[in-house]
Amino acid sequence: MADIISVHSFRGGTGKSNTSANLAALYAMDGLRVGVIDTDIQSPGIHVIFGLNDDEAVYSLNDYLWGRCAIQQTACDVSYALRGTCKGAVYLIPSSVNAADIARVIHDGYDIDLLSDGFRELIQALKLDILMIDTHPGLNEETLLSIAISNVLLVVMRPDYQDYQGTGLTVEVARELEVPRMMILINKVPLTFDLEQIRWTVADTYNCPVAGVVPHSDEMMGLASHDIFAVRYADHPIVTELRLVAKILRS
Amino acid sequence: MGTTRKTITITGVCIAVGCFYGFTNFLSGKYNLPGCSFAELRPQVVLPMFMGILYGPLAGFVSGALGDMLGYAIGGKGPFFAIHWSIANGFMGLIAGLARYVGARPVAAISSFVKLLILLLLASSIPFAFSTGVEYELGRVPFHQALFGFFLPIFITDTLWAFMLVPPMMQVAGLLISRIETRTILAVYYLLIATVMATWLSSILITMQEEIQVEELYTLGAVTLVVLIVGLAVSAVSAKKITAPVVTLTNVARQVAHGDYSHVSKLTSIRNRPDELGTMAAVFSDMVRSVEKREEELKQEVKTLKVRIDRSKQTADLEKITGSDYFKLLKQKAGNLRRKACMNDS
Repeated sequence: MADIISVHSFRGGTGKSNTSANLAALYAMDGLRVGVIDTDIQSPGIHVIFGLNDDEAVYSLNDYLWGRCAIQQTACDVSYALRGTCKGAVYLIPSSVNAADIARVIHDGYDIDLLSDGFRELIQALKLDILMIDTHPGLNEETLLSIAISNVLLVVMRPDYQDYQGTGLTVEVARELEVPRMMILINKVPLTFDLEQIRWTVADTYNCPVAGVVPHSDEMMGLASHDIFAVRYADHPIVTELRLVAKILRS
Repeated sequence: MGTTRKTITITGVCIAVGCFYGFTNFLSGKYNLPGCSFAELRPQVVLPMFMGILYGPLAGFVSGALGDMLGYAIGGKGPFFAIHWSIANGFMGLIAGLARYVGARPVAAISSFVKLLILLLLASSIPFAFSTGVEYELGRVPFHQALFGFFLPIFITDTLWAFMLVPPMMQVAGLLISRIETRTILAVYYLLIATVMATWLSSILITMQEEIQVEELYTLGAVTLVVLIVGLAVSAVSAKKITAPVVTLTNVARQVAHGDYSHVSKLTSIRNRPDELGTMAAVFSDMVRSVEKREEELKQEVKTLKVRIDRSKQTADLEKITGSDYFKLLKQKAGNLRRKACMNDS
């Protein structure tokens, strides 16, 4: 059975999509077959990191949910974005960036059973080892579904007052949903903080293990989501930390 | 295998250089020094010394002794014509070969350069004091002739040749490392030795043409040598005074680069100098102090994270979400899916 890893944050701007993309890349570098689903149907974005243009994908997750195609038809092989370092494979299932499609999702919602079935079909069809779900921030019904059906939940937060309350709520909700494994990733930590102190304070406050503490990086900001950080800066301390996070999430 | 090949190569080079030394001894043997029936003007003395410096005492001894014997053999006198002089030539190479054991090879500082010169001085004196002593003991020459006809001509001339030719040969062989200390001393050294050598050679030429007593020539030579050595000692001390602060500054800078600020106090005596080096040391120490202070302030600024959560609000929000029909259904469905997945796995 493949691991279904949801990467979630209560608020936007925590670096959730970048974390998902980098973890997916690191798994593929280790020879695993990874699927990345952009369930952030209201504000899709992870396709940009994999270098996929808005109009490049023939079908999106929306098309599957509205019965226009099979789930396998939405998968784009983006292994090329790893520029020769990919030993496994990375497939991206993008969301539609069409404004009318986004409006329709916001208005109508979508069939959650269908989404759940789609995930399982995709794992079988593409022989995936890992399915990563890049969720929409907040705790709406679609996000709750993504969390509910995953084996592993990674909650991404920043050391920022805006994130503390929401992260606590997310952790408690996930606990209610009985997600087998849940961890927190503290991202974009300013360099003036003591990383170890942050690690144990957060673990203690939320009574939840911390998978990693990732410092703020000018190089990451400079990349402006136009490339996969782990590919461009393979020896960077942040990549070393993310490699550790990737390992912990599967152990 | 590699060691054997190296030994064969060194032995080959020693024999070849020894042969060359012997042949040049034979050639120069026709031009004896004034008042001297035995010793001649022979720049080739540096060859056994250099072999010793390059490959060690044994190599120096073999090329010196072998070459000397070969010189006699070519001249038709037989290789054992003057065995004590051949042994002396061997020891000349051997003493120079001690360079690697006394820190005179490679030359990387003024101290190692001074050690090299002392070694060359000993290599040109002790062995020939021995062979001259043998001549005197055997009753072949009176003391006066042993001193002015053998020892002094050989000692003074060979020392000067060695002083003049060995350093550039070491430079060519890469055994003279370019550092500020070596560069400074060499600049003075070459000027000094070239002047002294020119004076000495012209004195010898004049003595050959005019009716000058050899005692006067060699006394003058001995005085010249003493003056040269004193001059070298003075320039070594003043060169050290210029270069030592630069070396200290470099070492301290290297330690600062590794985050160790504790050695800056070593610059205290340098910053008191009235010259540019003093100014440089003062500016550098002030700069390091301010960097250290800034780093210390940054370290103290390290923030500790405080996370505050409104627990009652969290409980209320959680109840709002988990109390909905949708959530209850979802939880039930998720549970079923997991159980199904577990059954499939088992």
